[in-house]
Amino acid sequence: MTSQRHWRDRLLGTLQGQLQLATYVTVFLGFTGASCAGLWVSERNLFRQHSMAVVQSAAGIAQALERLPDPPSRLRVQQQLESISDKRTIFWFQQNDGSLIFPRSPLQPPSAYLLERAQAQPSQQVITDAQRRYLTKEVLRLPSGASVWAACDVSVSSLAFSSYISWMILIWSVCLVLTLLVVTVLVRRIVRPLRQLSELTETVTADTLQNSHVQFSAAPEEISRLAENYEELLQRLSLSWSHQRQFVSAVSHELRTPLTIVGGYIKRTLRTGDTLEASQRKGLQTAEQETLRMRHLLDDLLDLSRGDSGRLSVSQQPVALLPLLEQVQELAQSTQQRSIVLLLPDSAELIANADPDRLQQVLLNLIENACKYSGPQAPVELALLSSPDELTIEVRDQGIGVPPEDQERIFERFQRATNAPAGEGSGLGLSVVRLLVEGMGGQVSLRSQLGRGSVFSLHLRPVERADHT
Amino acid sequence: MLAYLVATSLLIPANLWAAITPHLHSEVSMRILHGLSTLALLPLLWQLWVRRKQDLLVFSLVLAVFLLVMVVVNGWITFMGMGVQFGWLDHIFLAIACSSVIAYFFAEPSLSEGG
Repeated sequence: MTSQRHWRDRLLGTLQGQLQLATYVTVFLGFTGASCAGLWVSERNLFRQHSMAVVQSAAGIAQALERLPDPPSRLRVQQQLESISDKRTIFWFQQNDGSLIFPRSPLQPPSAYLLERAQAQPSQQVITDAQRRYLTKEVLRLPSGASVWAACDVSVSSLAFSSYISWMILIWSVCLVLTLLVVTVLVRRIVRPLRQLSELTETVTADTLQNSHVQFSAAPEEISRLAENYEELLQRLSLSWSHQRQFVSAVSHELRTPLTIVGGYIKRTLRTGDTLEASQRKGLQTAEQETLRMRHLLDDLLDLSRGDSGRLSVSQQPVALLPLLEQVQELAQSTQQRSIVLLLPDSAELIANADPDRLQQVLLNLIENACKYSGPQAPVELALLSSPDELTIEVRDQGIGVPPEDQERIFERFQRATNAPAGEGSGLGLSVVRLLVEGMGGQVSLRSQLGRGSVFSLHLRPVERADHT
Repeated sequence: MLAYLVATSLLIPANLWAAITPHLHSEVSMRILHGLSTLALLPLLWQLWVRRKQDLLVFSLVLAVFLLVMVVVNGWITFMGMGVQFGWLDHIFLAIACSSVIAYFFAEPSLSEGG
């Protein structure tokens, strides 16, 4: 029963499935109820009609039979029975002693089997004998204790009724199938706009918000209204998103200048403040580090804001990677206590299509990130790999790693790994990395094992020597 | 699974029709209907056996006993035949049993969790 989740979800978990099920149940119950009621009434009427006919016939000879002496003359009884018997119905007389008197014509007497079955149940019953069906009944009981029985051949009526049942089942089945087919088609038409709306919703992102529109040419009023509301919602979101971008851009820009001034004053005070006590110097150094961190944060915000508004300036030019990586390693090493290991290939010159300043920013960002989530003495490796199709720069650490479920979203804004210590980062750094690398025409990827470390790879397009010259 | 449930659901009206018109169906068609109805009950019996240690033990036990009796009785009727005196009652019970198959597979929530 492994497919149970599948069929249940498909049937009960979707609007289309629920509508189809509801229709099937309705049609099923309706047809079943109607057909059962129709059959019951038809069968009841059919046998009641035959039963009443034989009872009426028997009533016609009741007075004549009552006037007969006890025991009655066999000949007189036979005459009475013959007067009401015909080719379809035979009457017989049962005397007090159990002996039976049958009419001499027009029918043969009933078989012993029929008589035995009939007399076992005096009330009405249908008995099949020799491929024919008989309705048998005790139709008259005389004061003397004798009784009159009847066996009415209902084979023709039964055959007609069986034919009626067969046709009814056939029509019922065809109607059920047709109804389900029609409902399936209709339900698919009804839910199609909802599916389109769902597909559109999946594609809407911050970048496509402004250009996303919901339009249905021929949809029911409810769906059209939903689409209109959704369109208005998209517009409001787009406007709100635009305002937010402007706000972030303006605030970042306005905060950057005073922060630079504050940082400059702190640096100058530290440099010229010969009379500063150790505790004061330590406080100022902390203030300088925090100013630098805030400056980086504002730079990230500004980059993201410019990226959203299409004003981000990222050039694509030939960049010699070996000297750039050596410079990055030196810069990173100057601010880190741990070892920053540079692993370069033997090639003399490897040139990538990139923006040198932005590439340096990206690498410093990744190295800082790697140091942030690694042990104090764990080394960070900066490696360059070369292949004919691409140049790959890897930043490898031996840190806490990124859980598999977070790896897909780690490059999105404000997304941090669930195992990252609180207060360590803003969740913007990696989104800026991706923004800048994609701006250079490259790609960024992550391989990570929880508790064993991560490898961030920048895939850049190599520049052929002929292109370079 | 859906095909099985649809087929089982069709046996409900078929048994009701047979109960209403006990004199009008032939011996062969009667045996076929009893046989098909018996087969339709087997998957639920198997499912009850597989899940015999799960919740609702009393309910499952009662249902299993009912189904087992129906399978034995109707298996016998399929092979040996029977008169029509209480045939209508057997068809009513078969309709109830088929309904219980559909109700069980739809209403048993833990089945949707891959049980």
